[in-house]
Amino acid sequence: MGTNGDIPTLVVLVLGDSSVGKTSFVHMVCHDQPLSTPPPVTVGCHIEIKLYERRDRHHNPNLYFIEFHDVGGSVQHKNSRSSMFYDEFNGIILVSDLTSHQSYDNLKEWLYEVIRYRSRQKLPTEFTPDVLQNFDIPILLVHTKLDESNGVSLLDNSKSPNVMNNNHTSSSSSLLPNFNRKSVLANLFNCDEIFINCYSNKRFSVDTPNVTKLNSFFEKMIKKASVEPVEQLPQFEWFTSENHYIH
Amino acid sequence: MSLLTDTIVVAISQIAFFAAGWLFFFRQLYRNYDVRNRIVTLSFALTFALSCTMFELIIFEILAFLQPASRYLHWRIGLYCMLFLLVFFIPFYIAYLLLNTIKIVRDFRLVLCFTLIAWCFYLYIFWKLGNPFPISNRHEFFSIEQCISRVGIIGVTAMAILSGFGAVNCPYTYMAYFIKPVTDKDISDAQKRLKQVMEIVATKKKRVAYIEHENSLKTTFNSSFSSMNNKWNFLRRTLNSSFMSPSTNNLSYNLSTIKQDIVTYEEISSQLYTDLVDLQAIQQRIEYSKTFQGKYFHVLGHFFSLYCVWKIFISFINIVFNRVGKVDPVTRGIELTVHYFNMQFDVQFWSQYVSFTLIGIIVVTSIRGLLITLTKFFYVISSSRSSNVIVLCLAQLMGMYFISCILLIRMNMPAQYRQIISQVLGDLQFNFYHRWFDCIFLLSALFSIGILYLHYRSSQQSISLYDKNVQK
Repeated sequence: MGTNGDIPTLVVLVLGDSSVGKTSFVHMVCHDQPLSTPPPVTVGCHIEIKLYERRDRHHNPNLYFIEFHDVGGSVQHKNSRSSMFYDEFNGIILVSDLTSHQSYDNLKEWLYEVIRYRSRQKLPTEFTPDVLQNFDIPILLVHTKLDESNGVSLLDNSKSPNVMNNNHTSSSSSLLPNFNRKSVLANLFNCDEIFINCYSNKRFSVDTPNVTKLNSFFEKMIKKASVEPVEQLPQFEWFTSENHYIH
Repeated sequence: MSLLTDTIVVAISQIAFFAAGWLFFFRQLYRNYDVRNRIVTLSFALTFALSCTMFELIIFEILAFLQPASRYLHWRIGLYCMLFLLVFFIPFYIAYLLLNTIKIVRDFRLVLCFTLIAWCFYLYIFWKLGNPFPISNRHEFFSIEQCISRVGIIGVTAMAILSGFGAVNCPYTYMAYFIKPVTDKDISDAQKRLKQVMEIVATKKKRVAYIEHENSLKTTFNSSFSSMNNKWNFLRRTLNSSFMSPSTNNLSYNLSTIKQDIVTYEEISSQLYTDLVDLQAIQQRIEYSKTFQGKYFHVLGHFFSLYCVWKIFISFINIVFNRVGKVDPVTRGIELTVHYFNMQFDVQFWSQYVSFTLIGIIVVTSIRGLLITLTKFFYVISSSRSSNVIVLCLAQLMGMYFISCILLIRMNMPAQYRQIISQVLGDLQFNFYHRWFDCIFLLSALFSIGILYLHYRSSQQSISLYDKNVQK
């Protein structure tokens, strides 16, 4: 973790195919409002900063700078990307597009690109799940363009331990951003996933389920990156509300 | 009976080409392109198969492989199908897809109506396109000659633009890494520069975020006190405003200058990144040229650069001196050898094989070159929204390119083989096409020289901008 003055910084890599909405998502998270028009294709790495406040009831809020490295996803730049941007990071956000199944399938390849760069040994060219054993950096999956997805489902129907199993046929064609059911990749990486429309008019901070997941991702990064004693992290949700200064 | 066997032979080869086109599509383009639309892949593969069939028929013509009557029949069938695809089907489907994505109307029938209107408009423009050019002597409507002449113009223009750009780009790339080889130190310097600029951007954005956070805290602090006693509030507010106004003004002024700086640095960083990508590409090419295969291509590349420069020069001469070649290079080469070296050999026999080889090489390299260019072009401009339309446009371009290839290849064949092309394509002014090709080729070469010069200048500028801003 780098420090700027006395506020520590955590670096998050945002990866995904070209035009899935990484820049829009990062802008939504950092500035709490959507972009007015879709941004141009990102060349290189676009950096955005979010000031994340942790609060606990009795102490002063801890401030962290979350630095999002939004790496452009075009195929031509594959070789230049790795040596420049994959050197230090504390967490990875993988972004895919709900209107394109190919972008969801390519998420494995993106993660594998990072793993291959960081591991010193020679890894095979095909992705196998056992390479994830040594990889313990926090991951978050984001699926964008929720409004245009028309009920596409990414859910992993075979592994769900839910009691709603008998309702599969009626609900499998609808999109359920349900906490208990995850897609295949989320089960594989053992991480959370967010379904979002980056251009909706609601502010991001009122979108409570997604904010909760994002904050727990930040907490995982903070816990891993520092050696704080555990009693400062009680196990309930943190809200990034800037205006609750006095209880 | 022989017609049947010939048809079977041609049909088998057509299926082979169709499969090749389909495979190319899925291997090269599919990785970056999520297509579920069968019609798009079908039309692409069909266009490719028909074009390759026509080239194959030319080669059969030279080799005198099948019966002339059946060759002629297959030519006409192939030509009709190709024209149907290029003039009618593909533009219609492009208009349909475009109107679907614009999402103005939801009703299917209304979309179909608008598509028909757009398509009629396209046909009208397509027709008017041919009028200013002295193409054909016949004045009937809807004949094959009229269609082919117009398709030929568009195709020849596309071909000339691509060739012009390629002819300038090839010597430039070879010259660039011949004159200024890229070392590891250059690349690590470029990486350090980029990292430094990125850190500066990150630091400034952190400052902005912190200032905005402080501002929001101050406003909530102030607003939370507004519920208190009025006179205390009044006093506090006047004190706050008298003390804070210069500092908040200062702060907001700082904020806007910082934001302006951030914009400048982000531009610098994206320019540095593209330079870094270029440097790494050059370094990869240098490494590739050290291998055996690379050495072979390297030498070939030098010869090809010389050929490109010669071609530009020759087209300039052609235009200035107003001459169009009448004799193909094969016959001229044979005449030269007979004249200068006094070698007597069977002109008929040799000219057939030499021209077959030459035409074969031209055909294969132009197909391969076009497919590679299409792939690169596709990666550059594709996005997940409009990929279908782009693939169809590329299929249309490919079809027109191949038809005009056939028009122009006629010049490279000896006189006795030109007959079938003239017979099938009708009474076109072939010389006009060559002149038009030379003009557009020269224009495109000059234009590409300008573009490459600007590219070179901007990369120099980014380094100077970096030095000016960062090193101060």
